[in-house]
Amino acid sequence: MAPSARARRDGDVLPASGVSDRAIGLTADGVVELARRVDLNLSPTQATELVPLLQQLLEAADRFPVDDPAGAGWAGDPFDASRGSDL
Amino acid sequence: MTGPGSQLAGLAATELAAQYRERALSPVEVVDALLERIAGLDSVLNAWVTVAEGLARGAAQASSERYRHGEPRGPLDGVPIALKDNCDVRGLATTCGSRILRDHMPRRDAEVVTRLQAAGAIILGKTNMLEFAYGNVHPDVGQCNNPWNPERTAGGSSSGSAAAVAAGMVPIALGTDTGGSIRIPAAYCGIVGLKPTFGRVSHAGVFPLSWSIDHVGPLGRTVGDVASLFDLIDSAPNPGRERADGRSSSLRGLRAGVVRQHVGGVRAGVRAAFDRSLNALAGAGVDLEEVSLPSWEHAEAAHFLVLAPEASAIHRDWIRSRPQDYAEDTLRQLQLGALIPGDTHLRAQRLRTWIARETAAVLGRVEVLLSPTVGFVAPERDPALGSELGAEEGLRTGPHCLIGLPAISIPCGLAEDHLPTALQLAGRWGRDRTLLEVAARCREALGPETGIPQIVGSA
Repeated sequence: MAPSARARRDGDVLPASGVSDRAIGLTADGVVELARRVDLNLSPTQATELVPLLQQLLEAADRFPVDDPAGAGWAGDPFDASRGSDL
Repeated sequence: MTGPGSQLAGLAATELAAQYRERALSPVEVVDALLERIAGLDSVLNAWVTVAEGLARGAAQASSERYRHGEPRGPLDGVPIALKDNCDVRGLATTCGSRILRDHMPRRDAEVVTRLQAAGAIILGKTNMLEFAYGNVHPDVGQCNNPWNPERTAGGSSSGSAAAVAAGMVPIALGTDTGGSIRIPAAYCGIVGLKPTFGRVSHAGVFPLSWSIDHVGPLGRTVGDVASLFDLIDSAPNPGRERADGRSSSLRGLRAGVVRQHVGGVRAGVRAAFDRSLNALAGAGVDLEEVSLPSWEHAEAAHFLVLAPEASAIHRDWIRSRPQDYAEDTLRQLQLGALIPGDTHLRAQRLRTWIARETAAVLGRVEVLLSPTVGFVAPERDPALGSELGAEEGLRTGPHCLIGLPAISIPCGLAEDHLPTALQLAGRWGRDRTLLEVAARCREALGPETGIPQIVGSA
């Protein structure tokens, strides 16, 4: 099974919906297994269709410019900046 | 304009109310005419899921009585309105464009419905929508077609609301917008659609797609109608304060930022209409500058990574117990959302903060952001969210949902194939009324409205 792009880069394995990132394995078999762990029945065809979509999303998230844990991008809640309203 | 009920179909909500007050028209006459128009046109457009004829006639009778006694409940008393079919009305099914909720009868009204009924608005019925507002038509329900060309989609997910308003079957409607679902169909159908600031309009009793990104908002043929409807559903505790802060009614000196990330990749006809709009606004005194929001380049992926797990959590039981009852693409999206790792979802949540802060900094310099609403005119079919066209469709509307920013789509002329194009304006958080005022002035500066299309193939 191929690990995700992020796991390849830093060797880290983070909890992901109860399943480790490395364990996902972006193959149809891996997706079927991941789905099984969350009680979701996928046919091999369904899993095959999901592989490129999931891969794309994981890679996109990997490129998000939020890698500085101490920086502004990690602080506050998602709507922090929208609280400018005094209404 | 031709077709059934056509004499009254072109009147704006505010014009109807003015004629009621002058006793030149009655709500009973208007409801009769619009029901006739729906009966004549909807076999072509498929805009309505439920036409609430009995409810509407009863409400019209009561409203007419109030006008007769000089006691209307408010500025839109007696004005017919359509509701997207994810909005609960006691006694009418809420199907969400799905097979799963085909027979779902809500026991209470959504909060927005309570507000509308208290103000005397007449609920004419429930409108077609993409299945659970998630980007795909369920085959049991069928696509809602575009009044400008029934071979094209009306857009989604508030397809029926937009088509019904554009076709003159109803003057105003409510929709929901989680990535563009008010503004995209408004753009395709040549009408006005507002996505308010997040939380400004209650979601209570509206079936969710994604709790932290869903917005309820108005659609109409004029900015004035959209503003009047927004007034009825706005739940801001102190809207008067915003009115007092409002800028002057002139566009002269308005600082507007053209979003660099959203002008590329636009089809030629849409680009030409957008450029003409910018010229018209500059001619009216708007100070235009290009602004860059680099974080928005990541917004499309972040938007889906927030939305998809939330949607899948909402559908958690049904995707396991009734997978066969979803449209194929909807099911695929819901399955995908259930498999997105938690840390990936949280990474997208963190990016939201980043995007919001970068946007807030730009909105400190300019008062509104401008872009085309969609980069192309109405396609034949609604593209799936995961497809290339689907991603492109929501590219310019998703970021505002992700960070809760108010945004409005206004028509800005016709492009190729005689289909509408639209200009999007986004304002500062909580300044929805200011945005509406600016949009009204901009709409005037863009020249004459395109009106209601001739609908080919109608009875």
